[in-house]
Amino acid sequence: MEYVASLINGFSVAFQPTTLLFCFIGVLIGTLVGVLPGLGPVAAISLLLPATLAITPVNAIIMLAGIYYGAMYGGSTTSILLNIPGEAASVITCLDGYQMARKGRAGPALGISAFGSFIAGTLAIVGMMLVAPPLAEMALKFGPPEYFSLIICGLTLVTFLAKGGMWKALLMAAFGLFLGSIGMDTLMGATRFTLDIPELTDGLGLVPVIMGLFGVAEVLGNLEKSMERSIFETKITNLLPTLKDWAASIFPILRGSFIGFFIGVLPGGGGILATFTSYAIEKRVSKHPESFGEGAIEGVASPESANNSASTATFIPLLTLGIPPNATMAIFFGALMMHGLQPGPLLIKEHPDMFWGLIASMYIGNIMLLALNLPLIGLWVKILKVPYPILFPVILIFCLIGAYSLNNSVVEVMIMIIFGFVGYILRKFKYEAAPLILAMVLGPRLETALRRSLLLQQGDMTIFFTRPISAILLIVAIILITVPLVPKLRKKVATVPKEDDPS
Amino acid sequence: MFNNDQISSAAWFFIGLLILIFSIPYGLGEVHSPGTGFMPFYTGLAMCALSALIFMEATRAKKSGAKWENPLKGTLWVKPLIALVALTVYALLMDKLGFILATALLVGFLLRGIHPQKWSVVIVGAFLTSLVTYLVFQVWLKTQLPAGILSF
Repeated sequence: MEYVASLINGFSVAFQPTTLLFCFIGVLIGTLVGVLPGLGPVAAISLLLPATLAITPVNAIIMLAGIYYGAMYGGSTTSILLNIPGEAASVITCLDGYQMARKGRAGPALGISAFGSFIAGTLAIVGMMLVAPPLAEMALKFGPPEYFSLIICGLTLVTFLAKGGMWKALLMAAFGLFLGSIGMDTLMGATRFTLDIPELTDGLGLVPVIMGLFGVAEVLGNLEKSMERSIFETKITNLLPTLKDWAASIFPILRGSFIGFFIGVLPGGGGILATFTSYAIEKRVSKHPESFGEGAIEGVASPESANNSASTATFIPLLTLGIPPNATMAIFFGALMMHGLQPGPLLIKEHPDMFWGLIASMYIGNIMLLALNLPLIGLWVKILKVPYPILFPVILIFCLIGAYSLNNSVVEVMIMIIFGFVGYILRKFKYEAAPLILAMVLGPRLETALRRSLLLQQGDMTIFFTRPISAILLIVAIILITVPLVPKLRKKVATVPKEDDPS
Repeated sequence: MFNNDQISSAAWFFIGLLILIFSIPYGLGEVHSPGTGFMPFYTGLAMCALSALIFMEATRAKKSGAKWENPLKGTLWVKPLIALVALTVYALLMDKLGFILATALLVGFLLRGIHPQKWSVVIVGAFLTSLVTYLVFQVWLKTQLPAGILSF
């Protein structure tokens, strides 16, 4: 009953005209970002983040969330029509979606992907509504040792699921921890590694680093490739799936929603892992697995549902524990902080309007997306035809403005450019940027939790193993680190689908 | 010749070592009272250890045939380099020239210099991008963009 009252309160927030407008702007930009290859939700959210300072925190978070789940909807369009995933979580949709388009069934493919996304998104919102408040209640009992172990476990899981090898991902996480330590030491009040640059006193800005690593580096990576791309010319008709399509898709949609939700909650989990897992499971349970890759509608319905469900579920660890499970949520972490909100267990209690308003806006946003994606499909296809050589200067200008407007400082722009170059080099040598970002965000919190624990226990390290929750989390982390060292298990780990840079 | 992972891990080892050395002057403190340099010191140490592990793995891989592969081979790497230099010049001139002029020049250069477009596309693209972004960010969202030489 309490949930219903809270949700009604959330709807009263979400139905305010300005909130509706920002929700609409969010899902519209999200769809656009999802449709356009070369600009992902991470870059889009980070470059719009400074602009949200002019609006209320609730509206800002609702709009940014709209971009995120909107991109998941839009990403499928390019996968189906171009065989190019608009964002990384739509990679698997290419397999059957594009084949369906080639067989003249682009309409049902786009239709089932939109409906599947809608159903999954809605189910995940219900799950979030039920899971988040009790989880936040439980997290209120966490002390510094539990937080330290939770962050260590989360980071280890992220590196375990990262591409390019676990040691490389851990190295990136360690570098991220260093970057997070730049600036003011909150316990002692001293500054470190600021190089006498005033802008670094408050720490290295998350937004310029993310825009550099994900926005600028992505553009630089695209510029060195040939720009040829062609849209598969097909008439898009019958967007509404037939009864036969529905019969084949409904259980894959439900399974995809379920899988996506649980993977989304895990640190390191997200759309990409959810889509690969749901596709693999669907293929395994199918009565005709040979049709997968040849245009099976289940191969579109399940992963598309999974990525939407996962994108909603990833909000749970952020809003309840204050732990962002992936790079996109790391930006939300930054966004909440910029608006004076502390992500963590007290967020739901102290800012119920924000939490329940966000949930209610997700319901509304999902309906808006359905309305945007199906009737406007022709418009999105036209936008797809904008050549990348014309598009990329605009993306770069957005990044530059985003970085500059944080502090009206050229230093932030230079930081972004430097990290753009760093991101480009990291890709060349197969190092993933996501663990770096997560560690950078969590670094200050990890350091505070560690130092507070040691101060409280006068340097007694056993505190991390004598408290049950902390001990369990650390044991999980140790197991994850040791698994790749066992040759037999190493081979199995290599077959686990990996989360790519979600640029 | 070292392979890619050997070279990159050696670079990371060096970076980790620098972090470790430069964090000492901040004071490491004691285990019961960690100092300002405590976290960066152990982070640097972890980076050195992890890069050593990567180097060892890469050395093992080299024995099984993993060679140096030029990451720029077969790519149009000059284009990202030009774009990077253009962005840096833009950042340095932005305050002096002002947002509108600097942005128009940058967009024009990128449109013409990276994947050459027709002059009409270059001029219209540069003018429109500069104007529309100015209207959206400066006028609508009240972002403070530099006026530069156009401040009158």
